Amino acid sequence: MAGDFKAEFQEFWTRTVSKVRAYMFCACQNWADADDMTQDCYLRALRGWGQFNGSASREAWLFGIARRTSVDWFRRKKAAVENLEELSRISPAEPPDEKIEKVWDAVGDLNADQNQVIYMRFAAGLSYAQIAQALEIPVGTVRSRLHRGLKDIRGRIGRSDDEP
Amino acid sequence: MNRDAIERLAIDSAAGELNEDARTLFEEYIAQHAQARQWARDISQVYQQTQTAISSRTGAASATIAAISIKSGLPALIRWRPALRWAAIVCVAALLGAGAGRWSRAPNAAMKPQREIASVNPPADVANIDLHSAAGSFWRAKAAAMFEARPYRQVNAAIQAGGLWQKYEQYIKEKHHE
Repeated sequence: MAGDFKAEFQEFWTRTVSKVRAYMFCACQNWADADDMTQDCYLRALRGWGQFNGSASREAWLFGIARRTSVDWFRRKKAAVENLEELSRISPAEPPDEKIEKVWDAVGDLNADQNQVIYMRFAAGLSYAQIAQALEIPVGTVRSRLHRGLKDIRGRIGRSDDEP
Repeated sequence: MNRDAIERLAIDSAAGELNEDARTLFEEYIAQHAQARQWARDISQVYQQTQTAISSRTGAASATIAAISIKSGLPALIRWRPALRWAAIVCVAALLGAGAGRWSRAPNAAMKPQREIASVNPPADVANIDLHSAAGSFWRAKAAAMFEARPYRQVNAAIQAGGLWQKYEQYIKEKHHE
């Protein structure tokens, strides 16, 4: 029984971990923290494995947990971060590519609702239906948030391109 | 169709969320309308740029998955899961039991436990002794008085009436002379 569960969970973990990790990276912009958050997310999923009611897909359920994990992480981080040095530590360490950097900045400037949809779509590769289940919103809302988000990104990229 | 509608369909198409029929119709429509084609191309380009930007950083995730290990937490939790569950059940049951015992009370006075009073029935020969008659020894009369179930007030009245008390005084006198 325990062996079956372990195998099932391992299979689920193998299938989904790259998506969750990418999503967490988008949220915190730091691989070390993304790994911690991913671990935390899977431990929560493990504890709540039996509570899944089957109304959504298991993956959408996991991303609901991932979203709550990231929110909690930011809440804890906000309490812990006291100075600008700490804030600068969580900025990306890799040398920035200008074009990519602009898009990242634009995505970062979106509101949280649009952010979540963009990250789940582009980092985790979730379908509209899965995003809707994870965020507990209608599919139509997912479409409109994605559309508004991309329009905002276009506006911001355009503005920064126009700047001298 | 207005610009928003075209852009939404273009995004859905890029995301693979349009079915085959809808996609065909959409492509035919933008093929016939230059302005719509321009809008669709514009938003599709933003879609691709966003996809590229996010993938450029998060794409490394799959390459380093092996570095992540949940071994530290997973097996231990799996091993202890049933034991933890049973321990939690026992704790909850104990707490409920203690709480019920602590707070439960009889709802009214009639339900209070009654103290059982053992009744002592004297032997027939003792019970039949008449305290006021002279027959029988002093100690038999005392024993009969002891077993007799009557309120103290009545015993006191009997003593004051003279029967038992006179016998006792007589006994003291005899003892004294002896």
